[in-house]
Amino acid sequence: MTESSIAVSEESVASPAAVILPLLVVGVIGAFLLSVALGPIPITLREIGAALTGGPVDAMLRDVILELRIPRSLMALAVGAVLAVGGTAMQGLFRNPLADPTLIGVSGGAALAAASFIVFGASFTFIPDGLRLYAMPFAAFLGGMVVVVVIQRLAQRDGRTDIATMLLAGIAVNAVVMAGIGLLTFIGNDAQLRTINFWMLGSLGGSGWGPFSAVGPVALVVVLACLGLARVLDGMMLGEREAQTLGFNVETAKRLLIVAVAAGVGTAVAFCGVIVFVGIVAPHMIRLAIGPAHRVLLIGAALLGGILILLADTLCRLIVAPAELPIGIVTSLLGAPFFLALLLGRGRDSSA
Amino acid sequence: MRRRTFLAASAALIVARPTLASTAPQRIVAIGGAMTEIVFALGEGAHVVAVDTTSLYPWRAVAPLPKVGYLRQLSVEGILSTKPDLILADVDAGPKDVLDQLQSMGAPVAHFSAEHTAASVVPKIRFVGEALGHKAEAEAMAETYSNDLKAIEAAVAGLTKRPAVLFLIAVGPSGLRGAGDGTAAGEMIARAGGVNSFAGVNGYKPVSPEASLAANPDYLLMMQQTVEEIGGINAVTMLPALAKLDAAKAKRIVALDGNYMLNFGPRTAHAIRDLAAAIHPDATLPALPDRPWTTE
Repeated sequence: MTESSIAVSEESVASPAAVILPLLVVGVIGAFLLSVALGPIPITLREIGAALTGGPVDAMLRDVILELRIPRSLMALAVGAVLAVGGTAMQGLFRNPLADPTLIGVSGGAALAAASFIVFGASFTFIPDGLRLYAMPFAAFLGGMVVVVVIQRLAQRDGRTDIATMLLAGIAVNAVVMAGIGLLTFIGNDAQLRTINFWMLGSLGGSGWGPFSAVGPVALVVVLACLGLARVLDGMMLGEREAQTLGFNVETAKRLLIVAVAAGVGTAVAFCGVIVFVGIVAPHMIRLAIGPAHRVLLIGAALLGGILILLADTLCRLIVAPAELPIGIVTSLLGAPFFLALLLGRGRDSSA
Repeated sequence: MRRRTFLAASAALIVARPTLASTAPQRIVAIGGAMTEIVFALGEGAHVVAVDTTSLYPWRAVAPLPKVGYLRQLSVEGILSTKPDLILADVDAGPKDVLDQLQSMGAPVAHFSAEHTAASVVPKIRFVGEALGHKAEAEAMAETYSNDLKAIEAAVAGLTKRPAVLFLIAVGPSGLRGAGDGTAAGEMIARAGGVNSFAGVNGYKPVSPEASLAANPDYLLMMQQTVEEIGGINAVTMLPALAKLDAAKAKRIVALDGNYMLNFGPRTAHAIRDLAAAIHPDATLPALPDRPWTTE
């Protein structure tokens, strides 16, 4: 019976999804090609083809295509997908359209750890030089996970995670984390302050095959894990107790979701800094277009998140070339007005 | 292996340019204000293809050049797009993985590594001279700078007064931010024969109005740019956070160009002299002769 009732709800959204999802796939391919082709160094499609197939192409251009552009575009895709899926999952979990992964403290914890590393990292002489590049992302990842665990523990009531308490605990713990970052900006010198500042605005400038080999697989696993929990998320829209009576193990699902989102977003943030707004914009736009059923919603959000970050990162590289803009500025500056227009347009339609 | 393919590619590039006679760098990206000044002083300004946002002097020559961004936040592809055959980076340039990546992609990076002090300018000039293949000119320039520095040091050593100076890097509605120990401004104050009013604090930190009153500096030192943002010396003296200070009442406010005063480049000896003269108005300090790199 539960199967059929959910199947019905999916049936009703099947038609817009059948149009929009293929469109999004085309969009991802287009945005990916665009982001590989565009940058401060002019590169033609023929040169990209030659670089990929081992054809004759300038050695420097081949390096740019194979060592900079492609891993960076893959990184953008993975980060966008994982941030959007994280946002979707959090909105489902908290049954709150404004929820995003920051609520469970993963970005804040990662930022605090990263800022600590920026200010004190030079004194961590035990870290071998070869690992230095990965030490800060690792610290940021750990920081994100620690804060998530703290918030999750605070929200434990009689062996179950109380979502309302978790929301409030998240706000309180985030305030403490922000105070910690504030303290670090006070202790740090001007150089460290600028570095923390840039980190908080996000950038894909550090991408390469190394970072992508960490972010890509994690993002894939997290997106698949959330997809596996799509039906529980659908059930939880009715309420936790209702989901329980529908036969879902809600407690396990909640923990799995929190761990998956923390790991995915934590890894993304660790390498690329804080990138705001994608986790809210992407799921909302998909929800407006194809409805709230989580299976298609998660897939759509992942694709759209990837498109948004791919395009935003391409803009970052072009606008102030040969310099580069932090991506957080672009995602907010372009995402927010577009999102507002969509919301307002939608409001008028439904009132008419 | 990759390095070899790049060398082959750059050799091809050189062949393609008919006017090229030597292997000296032809497309230089200078990162850091002092680096840029030295490159221009050594006569290689025409070969600079891009600079960072802290490179402001020589003004007219640098202004139209493409900017590769803030020196701590460089991007690999942005710099590569200027097709450099030499990247001259000052100590603060980074992030380190960006510089490493540039190097591994065949764009040679010369990264200077000594901390900013008035004395570090001498090895910095030699470093740039070596990278540009102008060793003799760099040696002469370093010696001239070194002599200027010694001349002003000797003059300052003969002064009896040691006025207290408070450097304010930011003056705004949210308060004052002063320069403590380990800052460029702190070093300049000491070199110019002053005492830093904000010593004992590390770095650039907020100064409470009470602390500034208690320190009662003889002089307030600011960047010219900051003074202009506020609206001139008179406007500065009327700021509530400063108005009660004796230095503000008596208009003992020194404003020097931020780049000139704080970037520790070839103009630093002259900047020390200007600062020393400003905070010792009763003493007669000999002016340093103009150098090619101090007059645009």
